[in-house]
Amino acid sequence: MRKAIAVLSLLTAAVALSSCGQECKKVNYKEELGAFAKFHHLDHKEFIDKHGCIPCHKMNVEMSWADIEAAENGSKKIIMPSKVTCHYCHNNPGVSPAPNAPTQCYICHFNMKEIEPADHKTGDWLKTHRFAYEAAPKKCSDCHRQRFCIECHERRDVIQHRVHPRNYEYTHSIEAAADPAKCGRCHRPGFCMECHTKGTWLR
Amino acid sequence: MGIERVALAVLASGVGLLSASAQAAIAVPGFEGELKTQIEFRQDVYDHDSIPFDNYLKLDVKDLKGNSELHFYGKLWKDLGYGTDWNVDLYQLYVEVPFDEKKNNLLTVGRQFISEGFETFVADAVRYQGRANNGLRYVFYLGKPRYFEPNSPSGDDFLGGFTFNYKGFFLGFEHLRHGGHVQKSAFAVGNFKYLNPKLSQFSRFEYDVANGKWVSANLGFNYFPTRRLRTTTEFEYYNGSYTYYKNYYENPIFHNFSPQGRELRLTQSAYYDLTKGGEWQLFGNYSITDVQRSGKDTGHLLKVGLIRDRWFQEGLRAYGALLYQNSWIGILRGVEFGFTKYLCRKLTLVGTADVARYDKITYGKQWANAFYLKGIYQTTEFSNLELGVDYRTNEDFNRDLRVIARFNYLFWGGSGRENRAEDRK
Repeated sequence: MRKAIAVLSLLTAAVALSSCGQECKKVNYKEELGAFAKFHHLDHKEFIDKHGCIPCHKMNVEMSWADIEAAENGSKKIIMPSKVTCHYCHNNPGVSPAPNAPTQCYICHFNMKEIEPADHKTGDWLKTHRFAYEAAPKKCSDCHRQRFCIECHERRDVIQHRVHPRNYEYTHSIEAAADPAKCGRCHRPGFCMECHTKGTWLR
Repeated sequence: MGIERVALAVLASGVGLLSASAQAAIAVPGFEGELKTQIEFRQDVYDHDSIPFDNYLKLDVKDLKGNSELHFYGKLWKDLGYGTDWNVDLYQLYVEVPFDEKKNNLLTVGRQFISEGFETFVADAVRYQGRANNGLRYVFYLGKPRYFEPNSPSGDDFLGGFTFNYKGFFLGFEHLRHGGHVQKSAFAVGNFKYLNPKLSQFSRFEYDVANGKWVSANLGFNYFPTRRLRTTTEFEYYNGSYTYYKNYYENPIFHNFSPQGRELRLTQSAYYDLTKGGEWQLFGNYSITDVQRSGKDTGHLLKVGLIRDRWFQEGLRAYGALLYQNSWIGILRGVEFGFTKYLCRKLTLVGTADVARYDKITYGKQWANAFYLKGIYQTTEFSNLELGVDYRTNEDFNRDLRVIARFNYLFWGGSGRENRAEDRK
């Protein structure tokens, strides 16, 4: 199997690097990794064909041309659609006028860290987010759909490690003894018993 | 078994929608979804190779009759190495029926995620959520919980409860029957309040009337004195009374860890931007726990780390952290390291290294090291292919090698309702 793995890895790496070509040499990180990097008019062609430019590019504000610089700055702000414009269709459950506009944040936000609210960066958000949710559930659902919760709370996936380090089965007893309730937040007692009594779990 | 067949049918219709999206002539409701296929080749504990193979499908169909929606999330999996049967895990298959345009009043029927201030469940349930004009939100739910971990006895399981939220205050009740008996019938109250712009306070108290015990009590504070510094302090009392039944312990493993099922905990965490632009960030988290057992009964968990964020300058984000864990079973000292490097539109690299040295009363001193390198190749704008190599050493293996391949695909389309709001303008 080791040979097969090595060949597969080398093959994939070779294909990836060769197809990357010139693109990897010219990277404008600021432009490519910004929140709006992924907006393309082509993806919105159907909408533009039907409704034109005005729904997104509001041009109903009169501007004085006496100060060219101010006009340029102003027009950038006024004409460039803000996040409110995007979210009106893409994150507006029940109100969105475009029923098939996808709602996943990462379609536009390549860098999800950029839009992470400040209260998520507390070093303990994984544990304390429940209190924020209980008090104001709507705040969470503004950005997260129900299945975002399922990914950690219910889904069990032995390939994709989302929470624990990759060797956790060998070290977890120390943490479990230090804070048993911490395990109980996600796992039910039967989960422990599956390995501790049988020594097998394929999932 | 019936619902699994329904799941397979939805899975098949998902594939059908995928092909339909390529044919604009066919009128289907608006939909969006995500497909993930992953496979892992591994050297396994039992001297023969395990090859888990998972397929996930998420699918939302919108603008059905009455502005209703259908939501699906399922997993089709088997172990190709062990030759197990195909299995289906169905996390969501429910219909959402709104009673107003803003969807403040909703009825959801089917398998869904229930999280109303107690434990979280996936349940075959009926749930009604309403909102009054004064901001009062209320939820009632009733159903049968489903579990996706092994050794979860089913049968006459039952879940029911209600929740009220008003201006940051929360009141809830939940009744849970599982494993042939009532596990809890509990009331909970809590709040989350900004005392001033820099300080917020949260609390939660839960009492189980069926077992006559306090399940938990929490009191915490978030203190964000500047934009750069954020701290959280939390006190907690927890009694895992749901692991008891008629005064005996349901689970001997849990009993080993906490004989009385109770613990007291203090957690202190902090996050600090060392530089104004956030290029260097410091984070830390420390918990001290009294697990209420005789002898050495105090647990310490510490993690302190540094983040280097040069994402917009060179597409690089990296972090390193020190770990310390101390309990009556043993001591662990470890180092974690991870990075994400955006090479170009086509290729991103992700890597992690976990190195741990631990000393357990059962197995003595051991190393547990894991190194993982993953490349993400953008196949199209909305699909990518991941290839990862996972190399581990631990008390069982000098070398435990795994290769992981994953394909992610995002899709959406459909012609939507005939008379859409955007068309009426």
